[in-house]
Amino acid sequence: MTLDELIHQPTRLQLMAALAALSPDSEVEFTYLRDLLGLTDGNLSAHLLRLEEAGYIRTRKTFVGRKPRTYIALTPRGRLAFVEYRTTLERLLSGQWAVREAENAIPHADGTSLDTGRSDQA
Amino acid sequence: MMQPEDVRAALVTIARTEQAVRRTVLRWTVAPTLVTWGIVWLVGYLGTLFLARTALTYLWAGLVALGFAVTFGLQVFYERRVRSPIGRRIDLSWLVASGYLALWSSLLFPRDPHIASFVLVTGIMAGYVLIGIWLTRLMLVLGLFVTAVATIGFLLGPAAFALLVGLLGGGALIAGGLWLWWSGRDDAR
Repeated sequence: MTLDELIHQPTRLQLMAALAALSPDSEVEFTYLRDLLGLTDGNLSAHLLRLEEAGYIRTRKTFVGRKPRTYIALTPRGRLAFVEYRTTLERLLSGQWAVREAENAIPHADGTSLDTGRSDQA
Repeated sequence: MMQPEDVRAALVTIARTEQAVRRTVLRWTVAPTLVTWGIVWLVGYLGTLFLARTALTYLWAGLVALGFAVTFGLQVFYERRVRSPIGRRIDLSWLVASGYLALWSSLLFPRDPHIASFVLVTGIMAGYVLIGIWLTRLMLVLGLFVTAVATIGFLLGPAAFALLVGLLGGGALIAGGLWLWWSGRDDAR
């Protein structure tokens, strides 16, 4: 199992999670994401560019009245990548737990389990 | 090699971000709508106790028009930031359902506004309950609470109905809206 390193970066993970939390075909304004995640304009732009280059998001520039606005939406490819990323995380976690539980179930030669030191022969 | 703590942290980040998005949506759409319609009910039903029939007709017409104007104004404002085709469909569904309920309750009970009001209020609250199942438990609780209040008021008579639905029903909507607004204050705009 490999994690998508592009999504795994903390800020981009928040960006992807925020966009994925909305219904498909939704698009959000640049300032909405900036305020939601507490980012600067430059920081947000840089991360959006990386995601856009990967084809995970698309941006649309328009005018509302005289004000320029940029809308951002998750692409189907981005949504799929995020779902896969999340599934991988959940599998990793459940897999690691399973390994740990298996390790704990094997008693040491002295009769203690691995992490608790509790004697199983008490 | 990724540690379990890193995996957990990533999942927590996702969950927190999703919660922040959800709260922001509720804060900027549902909360002000609840407060607006709470005020409409409070003023409208308390007015029922004190005003003559003609004045009441104007009052309700004005309040309902104001309620829809504020609701759709808020939606237009919010859609400048988050454009969602599902959001628009939900709004349209509310408009159609409310109109449908108002039409049928007035056609079925034209000479008994008491029954018509009861059908309208409990019908709208049935919508709250349904929305509450998948959107937020607050709507579910409000729907059940106002339905109970309206039923008690209906059994006690028109004056009690207006008083209870106005004060407790409208008051509950206002309180619920303010609570949603307050609880989402730490999340973003």
